Amino acid sequence: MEPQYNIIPDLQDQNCLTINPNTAKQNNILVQKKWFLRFGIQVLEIKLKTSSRINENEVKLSLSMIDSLNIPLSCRYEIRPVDNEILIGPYIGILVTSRKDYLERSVQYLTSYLYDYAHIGGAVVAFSLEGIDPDQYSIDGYIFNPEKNQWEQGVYSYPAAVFKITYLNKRWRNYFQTVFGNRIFNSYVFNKWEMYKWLCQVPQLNRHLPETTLYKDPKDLESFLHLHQQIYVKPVNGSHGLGIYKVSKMEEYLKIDYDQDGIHYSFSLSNIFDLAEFFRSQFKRKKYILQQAIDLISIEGKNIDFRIVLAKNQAGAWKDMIMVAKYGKSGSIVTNIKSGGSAEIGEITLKKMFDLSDEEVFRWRQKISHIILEAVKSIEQFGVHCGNLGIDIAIDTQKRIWIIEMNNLNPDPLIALDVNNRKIFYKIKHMNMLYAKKLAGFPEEV
Amino acid sequence: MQIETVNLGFIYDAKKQQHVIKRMVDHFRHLSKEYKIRLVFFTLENLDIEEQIINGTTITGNDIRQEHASLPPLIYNFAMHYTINQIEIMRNLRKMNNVTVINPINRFIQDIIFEMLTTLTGSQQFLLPSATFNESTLTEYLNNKYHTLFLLPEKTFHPPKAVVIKRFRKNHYMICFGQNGKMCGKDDLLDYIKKMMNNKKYILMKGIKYFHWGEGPLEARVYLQKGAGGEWSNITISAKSCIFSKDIFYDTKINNILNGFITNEIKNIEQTLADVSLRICRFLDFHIPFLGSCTIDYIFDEDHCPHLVYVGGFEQNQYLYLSMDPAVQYKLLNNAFHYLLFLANYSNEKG
Amino acid sequence: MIWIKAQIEDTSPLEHSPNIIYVSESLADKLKTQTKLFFGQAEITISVQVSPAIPECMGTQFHDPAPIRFSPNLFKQLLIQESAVYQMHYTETTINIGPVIGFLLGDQHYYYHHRRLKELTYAMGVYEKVGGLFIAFRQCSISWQEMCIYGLYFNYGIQRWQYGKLPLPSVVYRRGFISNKNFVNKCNDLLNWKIFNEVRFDKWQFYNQLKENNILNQYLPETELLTVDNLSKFLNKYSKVILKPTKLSRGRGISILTSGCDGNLEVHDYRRFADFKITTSQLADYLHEGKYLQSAYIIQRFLDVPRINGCPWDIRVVMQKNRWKQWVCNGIECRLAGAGKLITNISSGGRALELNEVLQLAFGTEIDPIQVGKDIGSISMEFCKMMDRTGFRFAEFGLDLAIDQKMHYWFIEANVRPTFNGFKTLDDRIYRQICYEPILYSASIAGFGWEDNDGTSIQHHS
Repeated sequence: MEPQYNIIPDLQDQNCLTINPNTAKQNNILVQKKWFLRFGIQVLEIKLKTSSRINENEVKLSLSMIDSLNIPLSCRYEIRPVDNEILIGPYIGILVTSRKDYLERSVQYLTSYLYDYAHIGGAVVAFSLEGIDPDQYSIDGYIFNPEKNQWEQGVYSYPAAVFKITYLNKRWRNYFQTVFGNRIFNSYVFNKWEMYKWLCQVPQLNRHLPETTLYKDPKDLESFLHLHQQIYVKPVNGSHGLGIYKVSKMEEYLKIDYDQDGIHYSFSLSNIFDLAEFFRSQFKRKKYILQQAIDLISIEGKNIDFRIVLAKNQAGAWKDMIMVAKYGKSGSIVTNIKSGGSAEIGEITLKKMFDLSDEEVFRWRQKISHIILEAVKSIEQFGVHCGNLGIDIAIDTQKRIWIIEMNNLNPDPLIALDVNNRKIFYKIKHMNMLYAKKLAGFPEEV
Repeated sequence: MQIETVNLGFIYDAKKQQHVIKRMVDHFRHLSKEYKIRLVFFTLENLDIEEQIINGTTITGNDIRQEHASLPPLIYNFAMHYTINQIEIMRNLRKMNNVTVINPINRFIQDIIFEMLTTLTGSQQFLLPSATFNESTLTEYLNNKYHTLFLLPEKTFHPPKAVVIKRFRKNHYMICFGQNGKMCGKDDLLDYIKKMMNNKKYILMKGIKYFHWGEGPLEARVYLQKGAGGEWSNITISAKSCIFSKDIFYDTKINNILNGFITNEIKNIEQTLADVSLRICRFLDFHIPFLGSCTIDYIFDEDHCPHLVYVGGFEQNQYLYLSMDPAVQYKLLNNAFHYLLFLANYSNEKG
Repeated sequence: MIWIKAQIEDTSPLEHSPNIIYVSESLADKLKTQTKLFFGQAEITISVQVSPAIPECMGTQFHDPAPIRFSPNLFKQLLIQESAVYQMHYTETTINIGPVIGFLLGDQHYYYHHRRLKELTYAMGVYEKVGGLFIAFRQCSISWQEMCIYGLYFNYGIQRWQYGKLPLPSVVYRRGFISNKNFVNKCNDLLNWKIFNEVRFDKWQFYNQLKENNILNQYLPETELLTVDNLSKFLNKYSKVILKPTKLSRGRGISILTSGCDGNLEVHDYRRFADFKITTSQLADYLHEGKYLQSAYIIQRFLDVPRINGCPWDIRVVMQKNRWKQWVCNGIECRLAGAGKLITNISSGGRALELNEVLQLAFGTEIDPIQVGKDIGSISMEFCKMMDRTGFRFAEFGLDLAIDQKMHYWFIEANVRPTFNGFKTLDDRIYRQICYEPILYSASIAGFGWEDNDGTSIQHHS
C-alpha cells in the first residue's frame, strides 16, 4: 500500500507545501524544482519546503491553498509527482444521478463502494448533475468522511476522475469529455444494436452472436421469421429483461410470449400482419431489435443463462470477477432474477448441465472469459471507455457459447449477492474505485 | 533639492492599497481646492525619517505631482506595517514632537484589546472569554466544558483565518476551517494546533453556537471613524465573511439576513451593533491615543446577539473595501481628511 | 497607621446608599462616627458604623490587614480596588486611605499592557512596604467627564497590571515624555496633581543653569549653540569638538570634528560608517548638507579622557529622592564605549563596569577611588539641589560625568528620566534599589511615608 498523508493546515505561510525530507526522498520529489500542486482538475503554483518537524505521515499545506483547492482535511492522501506537478489525491467523483433530491436519498448506499477505503484513500465526492456549477467549477455534493464514516454535504471542487452510474445526454457527455477527457468512464452507454453492429465485424466473435437486426417495418419481421423458428423482440435500450417478446413460428400461426407486470401472456396470431399490428400498439416510439432465439439449455424446465461481471483494476486491466447462472421462472421467457428467477454460481451450473469434471469446468470457464474479454476490447476499440461491464451469455443445447447482451450503464454487482457472495460484491465495487483511482492519476505502481 | 511644504499627509501601502490611493487622488483634489490645503500621499519607503523629508505625491488643487515635501504636522495612516524596519519608522514618527499620526497602528494585539474591553461596563454581553493560546489555557478551556472553542490569530486574520474547535464524541474534537474539518483526538489536539500555527501567537476564545451563513458564521463588520467634529460615528455595517471562512461580501443588510429567520420579532440588530461599537471606540480612546478609524467584527449567536471577534484600524482588506458602496468608500476617505482638518484647526485655535 | 483592605458591603441594599464605612468594633472605637475620608483626589464626608460581621483585626501588619467594608455607592465613587492593601491614617476629623500613585507613561508603546510594564512590575517588589493603589496611565486615559482614569492598576494578589476604572491619584510620577506640553499644565490646574519629573531640560537649558552655579561651572566644558561662526571659533580654540543635538540623548545625532595638522578636519559623523576629511572652507557646506543648522545643536569641546584599551568611557550617576524626600546617590556605573565607538552609551554597544575597576584601568594606582566617589557624590548632590531651586519637581536624574587625563571632573549631560539598564547587568541589588526608590518617595509625598520598621530588608546603597 502506498503511504498516505494527513494534511495539516498551515495557518501562517502562504502558498506553501511543507513535507518531511524523507517524504521528498521516498517520492522522488526534488525540493528545488518549481512545482504545481494538483487536486482534482485544479492546479496551483506552490513553494515546496521540507521540515523534519513535520512527521513522515503528514504534509503541511497553506490554509489558503486548502481553501482554494477545496481539499477535505478528514481524508488521507497519497502524493505523487508527475512532470512538474505534485498530485494530491486521489480525488474521485461518483456521478450518481441527475437530481439532487435523489442523491440525498441514495448517497448513504454509496458507502458500499468504500468498504476498503484504506486502499483507495483520498477524497470521494458523490454528486448529481443538478449539483454541478459549471461557472464556478464547483459541485454541490457529498464527500465521504472516513473519520465519521459518513457522507457530508457541501460545495466541492471538480474531482480528478469521474465514475458515473447514471445516464448522460449528449450535452453532458460533451461537457464531461471537455473537462475530464479520458478520466471519466462509462460516459457513453451503448445499446444492443450498437453492440451487435460493432462485434459482428470481428470474425472471432461473429459466431458467438445471435443474428440480430433492427426492426424498421413489418417486412423485417417477415424476413427474420423466415430465417429463424424463434425470435426475440427486444427494446434497443432496455434492461432487466423488460419489454421482451418471444415470437415462435408454429405450423399454422405465430405464438407470442411475454411478461408484463408480473403476468405471463401467451397467445396466438394468425399472420405477420397481425403481429406487426400488435407490435405497433406495444412499441410506442421506442426502437426494437429482432434477435435470433437461442435454444437454451434448461434444467427442470427452467431456462438458464449466465451473467458475468468484468471490472478494470488499478492497473487498468480487465478482470473477470464472477459468473452467475440465472434460472428463469418455469415457463418464463426471460431469466431475469427480478422476474422471479433464481441464481447459482455459474461453475456449479456448468457442471450440472454437462456433467463435467472440475478440470473441464475450469476450461469452459476460461473459454468463456476469453470470448467476453475479446468482446470488451472490441467495444473499447469502437470508442467506448468502459470500467466495468455486465455481460449476459447463453449456452445452447449444442454447447455453443452466445453473447446475448453487454451492459455498461450501471452494471450492478448485486448479482453476486444472489449467490450469497458478499465478498465478490464488495470487491467489484472496490475494483471500480481502484480503476477511478488510476484515472485520477494514481495507477498501481509497478 | 526643492522641498515643498504641505499641510496634511496620508500614508498608504503601495502594493496593497493602490485601490485606495486611486480614489483618494480624485476625491482629495476637490477638497484641497475647497480648503486651500496642500496634501501629500506617501509610502513609508519614501519617507526619510532622519531628514524628515517625503518623496511623495502632492496635491495642490488640480495640481498633482511627484516631488519632495517636508513632513506635515498631521498624518493619517491607511496602511498596515509588517516589517521590523517599517514598524521602527512608524514608532519614531509617532514619537516625534512636531508630528501627530492618526492610526499609527492598524492592527492590534487582540487579547490586549479584549482584556481592555473587559473593564468596559456591560461588555459581558458581547465579549466572550478569551486568553492567549498555550497548553495551559487550552487545557483550562477544554476543562471548562466549552463545547466550542475559537482559535483566532493574535494580530490579523490576513492571511490566517480563525479555526473552530468543536467537541465531537467523547475525547474527540473537530477542527473546522469553514466547511472543511479534521477530527482529532483529545491527546493529539495540542500537537496538531501547534503544528498549524507555526510558532505564531493565537488567541483562544470560548466558542458559541453561531448563526450560520454560507460556509461559516455570519460576520458583521462595523466601520467607525472620527470626522469633522472629532467625534466617533458609525459609517456603515457590512455583512461578510473573512475571519472564519473565505472572503465574501454579502450585498444584503445584516438586519435582513437575520430577520429573515424570525417571523414575529423584528430586532434592529444594526442599531445594536452601531451602539455597542461606538461605546467600544469611545472606550478605546482612553487606552489607545490617536485612533481615527476602527473596524469592529462580530458574529451572532442563535438568538442573533452579536459577539465581538476582532478589532482593527483602517480597513486593510482590499476585497471588502472595494465591495462597499462607492459612496461609503468616499465617506471613509472624506472623514480621514476632515478629521485631520479638525485637528489642524483645533491646534491652531490653541495657538 | 494601620493596614486595611477595602471590601464592598454587599448586604447594603440601596443603590443610592449613604456613604458609610463598616468596621469591626475595636476599630470603630478609634474612629469618629462622622468624619472626612480622603482617597486619591477624593474627599467625601462619611459615617462610620460597626458591623459585627467583620472580624476583629487591628491591621498592624501588611499581611494581616483590617477589613473595612464600604457601602456600594461609596465604593463606586471612590473606585477603590479590592485587591489592594492600603495604609490608613486617622485623626479626629479625617481618615486618609492610600497612597494612590500614578505613573504617567510615555510614547514608548502605542498602548500598554502588563507585559509592556516590566520595569514597573519590578518596582512593585517593594509593594509590601507601602501598599496602596498604583496606576499606570497615559494622557488619553483621563476621563475629564467622569473624573477618573481608564488605565492599568497593580493587582497585588496576582502580581499583574490590570485594566480598570480607577481614581485620580494624588501624586503622579512621570515615566516618559509626551509631546503635549499643555497636558501637564492642565493636570496641575485642574487636578492639583503633584507631578514629578514634570519638565525635561535639554542640553542647552542645563548648560545655562549650570553656568550660573559657582560650584558647578568649573566642571562645565565650554559649550555654545551651533552656528558656523561659533564652530569656527571653537575649532580655533580646541583641536577636537563635538556637535550634539540638544534634545536627543544616547549619542544619537552626534558628530565629532578633529582638526589635523594639515589644516583639514577629520569628521566622525553618526550617519556615516567611515570617517572622512573636509577642509575648513567646506565646514559651512558640511553643516548645511548634514542639516545640523536646521535642528538645535550645541558645540562642545571634546573631552579627551584616558582610554581603556583604546575605548573612551564615562560615568553615569543615578540621583534619586528617597523616602525621606532627600536626594541620594543610588548608583554609579562606568560605561565603556564599544570597540571603535566614540560614544559610551550602552545602547550604542557599550559595556557597564564598576567605578573602581575603571579607575584602576585608566589611572592605575595614582588615583584614590574612594575620594573620586566622594567628589562625584558631592558634584551630583550640588546639581540636584540647584535643580530643586528652579521650582520644578524632580525626583531623579541620570548624570553623565567624565574625568580627563589631568583628573579634572567634567559635567557632560543630565537626563531627567534616565534608563538604568547598565545596572541590571552590573548589580541586581542596586538595580532593584533604583527601581524601588521612586515608589517609596512618591508614597512619602502622598503622605504615606514608608514606615521604617524593618530597615534590614532594603539595603540603602550610596
